[in-house]
Amino acid sequence: MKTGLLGQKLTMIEELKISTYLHHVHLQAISYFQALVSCQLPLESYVGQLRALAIIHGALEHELEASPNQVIQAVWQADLKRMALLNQDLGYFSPRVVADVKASVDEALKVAEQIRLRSVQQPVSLLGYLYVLEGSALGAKVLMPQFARAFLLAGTEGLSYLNHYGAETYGKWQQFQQRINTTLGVADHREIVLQAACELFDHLKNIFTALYPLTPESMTYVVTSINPEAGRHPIPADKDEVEASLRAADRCWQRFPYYEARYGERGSRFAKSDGAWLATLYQYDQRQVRQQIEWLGRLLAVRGMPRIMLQVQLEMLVEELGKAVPAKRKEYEKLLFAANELHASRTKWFDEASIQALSHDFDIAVGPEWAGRFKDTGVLLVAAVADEKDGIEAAATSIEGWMTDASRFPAPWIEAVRSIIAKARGHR
Amino acid sequence: MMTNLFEESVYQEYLKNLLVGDKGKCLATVQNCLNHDVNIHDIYVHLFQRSMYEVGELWEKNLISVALEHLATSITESLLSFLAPQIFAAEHIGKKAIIACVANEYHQTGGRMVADIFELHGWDGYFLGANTPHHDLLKMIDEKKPDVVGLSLAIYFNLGNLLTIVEMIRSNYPNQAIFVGGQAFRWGGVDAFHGKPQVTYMAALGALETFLKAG
Repeated sequence: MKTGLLGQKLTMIEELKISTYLHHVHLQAISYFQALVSCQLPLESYVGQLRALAIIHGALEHELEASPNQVIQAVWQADLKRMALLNQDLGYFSPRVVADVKASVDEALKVAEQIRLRSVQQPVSLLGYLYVLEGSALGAKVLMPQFARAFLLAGTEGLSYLNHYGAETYGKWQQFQQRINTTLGVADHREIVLQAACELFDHLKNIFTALYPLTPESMTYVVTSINPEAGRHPIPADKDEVEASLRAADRCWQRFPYYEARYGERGSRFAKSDGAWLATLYQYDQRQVRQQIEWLGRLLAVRGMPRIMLQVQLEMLVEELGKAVPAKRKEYEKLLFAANELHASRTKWFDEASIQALSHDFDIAVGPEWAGRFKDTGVLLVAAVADEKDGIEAAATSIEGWMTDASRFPAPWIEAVRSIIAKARGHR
Repeated sequence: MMTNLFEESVYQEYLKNLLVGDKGKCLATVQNCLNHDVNIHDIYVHLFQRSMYEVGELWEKNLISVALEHLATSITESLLSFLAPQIFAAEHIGKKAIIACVANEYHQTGGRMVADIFELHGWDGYFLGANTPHHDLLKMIDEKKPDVVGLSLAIYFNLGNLLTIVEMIRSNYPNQAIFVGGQAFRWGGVDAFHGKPQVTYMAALGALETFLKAG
């Protein structure tokens, strides 16, 4: 622990302020902020900032929320989450800004990668990242009027992230500082937290440097504008195809209430980014389309999403793509052939009549209220067993576990789930 | 004694240490191999390649998180760096290989191992790293005039980028020998290169070793 000139033991917050002071000064001197103050900053730069921060917050909040580490648990609280605010702001701007600033996205993805590695190797160091982002809330209060003026924004429209704590900003910051000071006593922890905080400032400098000035070459379409946690996979370059894939994902989401109940808003974003990737596949020959979809289908099935859901999403996607870009309707049909193959991989184990009969028995057993709340669950469970019979280990257990959680479902439901799975497994 | 070092128990212990992020113990295994004169190629195939494929499969089956997968990759990369002095000691034979990961492909460990295997056999192996932009690769081919261009694909959804760059190389350099390989091909995609005689699929490091030994 460092000490002051007169022997005062410096708190963790004091050490963080000292270590990051120059980083802070350098960050504020970047031309992005000068452009902001002089109302010269393009909207794409601000939206690029929000997207980059969404990538970082998405990764960080996910790891902190899930961390079993007691030091993290002593600091992390639900009111520190800001992803929802970022999504709100991005949603506000989405009709106006589509293209991304690739360099800032790439830098944010590096941060996300660091977060994942740190969450395993040195989880406490993530508090250094959290300190920087929480500390930015103070600066955000000062900058918020500048952003409002630069982009003629009213109230908190497009400014939810900057206005996170509103009038309580100072109080929340005091509480956060107290938790950090109380929790981070061990010297090793303090060092790695200081290091991480400085590292994040370095990344933020790169992000903001990439965001202004912009050049036409720096703009592109990347999947992280749909889902900040999606990584780097391809999406269509055609805006109409992207929008068609998002509509198809939304429709599929509504078709299976299980999706939202289990995976929530994060799952919705993945459904959209996966859909955008699926929309790129029509460019390949049929065999490659089939192989790519087989691969994704397996990945999803072991994560609790039976392949019937992918089949339905493909069917809806072909429909939406065909409406959006009629000239390519024939090309999009390759995705339909792949959907048909997924259907065939299920019906080779269960004909449609058997699936409907088993599903009907399930609905009777759980009663109309639950059958209505989670429609088509019987179909999903039979489909999961079909995936298991088709060689995908854990396809059925990955959905069964969630569906038989007594904290979520009543006994008759749980019994019905076990019963339909057993019947499906015994089906010839 | 050398073959005993790749007994299943040694590999499983290495994998276990890799999956808990114990870089020290993984390094100890590698050091032990070197102390017993195990050749680098065998370390690459029996420890690194095998464990990286298995880590990829474990992630696909949702048995490990993406964070663990990335940690295992990071440890493996640091072990490659540890072995670098041995890699670059071979006498050079005047042949060149450019190895690159396709655009948007950030899993670079496999590509790096391939470049090292070329170096072990006395080639000049130019590893361009992850996410190689197409025009940068073409520029490098123009400059170095390699005997082989190797393209690495770890994740299946980057297949499109691989097909694109292969066509770009073929149209700009019709006689350029191209090798393609990587973990992604476990899911298929090899047939995309049928009818392209200058493209050779290398199923694993063993296939590359066979090619290099044949001269």
